[in-house]
Amino acid sequence: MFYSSVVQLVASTTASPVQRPIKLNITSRFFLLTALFSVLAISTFAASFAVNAQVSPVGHALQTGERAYIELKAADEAGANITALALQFNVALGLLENASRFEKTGDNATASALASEAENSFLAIIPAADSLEAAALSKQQQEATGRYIGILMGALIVAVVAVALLEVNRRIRWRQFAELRIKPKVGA
Amino acid sequence: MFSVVVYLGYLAEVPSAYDQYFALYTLGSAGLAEHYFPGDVVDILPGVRISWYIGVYNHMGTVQLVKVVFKLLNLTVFGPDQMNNNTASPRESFYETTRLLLSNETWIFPINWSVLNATEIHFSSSLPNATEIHSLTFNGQVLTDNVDVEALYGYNYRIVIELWVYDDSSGNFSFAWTANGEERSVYNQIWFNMTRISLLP
Repeated sequence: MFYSSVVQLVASTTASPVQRPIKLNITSRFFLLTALFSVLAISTFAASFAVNAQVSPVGHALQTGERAYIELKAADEAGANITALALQFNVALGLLENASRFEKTGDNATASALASEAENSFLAIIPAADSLEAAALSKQQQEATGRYIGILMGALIVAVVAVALLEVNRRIRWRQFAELRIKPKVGA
Repeated sequence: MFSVVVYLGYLAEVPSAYDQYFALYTLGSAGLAEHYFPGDVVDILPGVRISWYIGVYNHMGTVQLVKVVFKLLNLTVFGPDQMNNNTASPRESFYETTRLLLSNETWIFPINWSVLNATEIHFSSSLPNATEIHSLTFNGQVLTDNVDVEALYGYNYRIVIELWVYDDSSGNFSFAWTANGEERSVYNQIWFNMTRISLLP
């Protein structure tokens, strides 16, 4: 429909060799306007997207902070002691909050400096949390292996003892039974 | 016998159920659940300094990134709704602070605030007067964003304190979180009045 209208429009403007004003019917006008609005809307959207793509120093530091948090959480879940890193993380968060306030007041230089300091701190946390996680996971694995071996050995010892007791018990009972059988009858 | 011992060992390995929750509380100037306003007068005036302590306790079993969000509301602006899918108040916050909380850690921080500028509004002789707050001082900062609130006769203002938790899956802070398979949320609100603006010189 749109294509045919455009063709019609082009045909009406190019077919005649005589220069005359372009006449557009209602459908053509509607589609021309729609196309115009679409182009405007797309360009506006693209412009806003471009603005969003320019992340401020505070926003950038915030993204790094999120990465640091994910690493810290993984290390914590692996059983690592992350107390010192958490303290460092919170100090960086404080810097970032101050940076955000300066950014709001228009003091971008101070905001940028504080955000950069916070980001460096977050960046230092990431590998530290990573190595803590690796160490904790290795320790966890060793402990788990030791525990499972302990459980199996304990179970084996209990089973051997139980079997031995049963065997002893069986022999005692057999002896008692045999003694009963060979005992002469009283008064025979 | 062998199987029984192995099973008992396995049971000892399986962690027991952990009751997951966050606690959020607001305490008065003495760090107790009392004396929230000077002289216990909830009808405050501009310049009256109010001191509270905000506490957050993490009992989720893992480290958590939390944000405490402060909002200024009147009676009619919607507050947080725990009965309706745990929705936060739609009002924008005037102050936020974020912190990483270790498992079983309590974070207590003081806040000092006062109304910096408020005026009385006379609509007309047939309409009741209202009070409008324009700015706050909050922990030493002057805040004008998202504090502009009117209240009829100056009654029923409230400071709402919401706890937002970082959701790893969405990468955003969320007012509601899942604990033991249930969606939960927590907030505090403290009501106050400002009916005596007209008495000021």
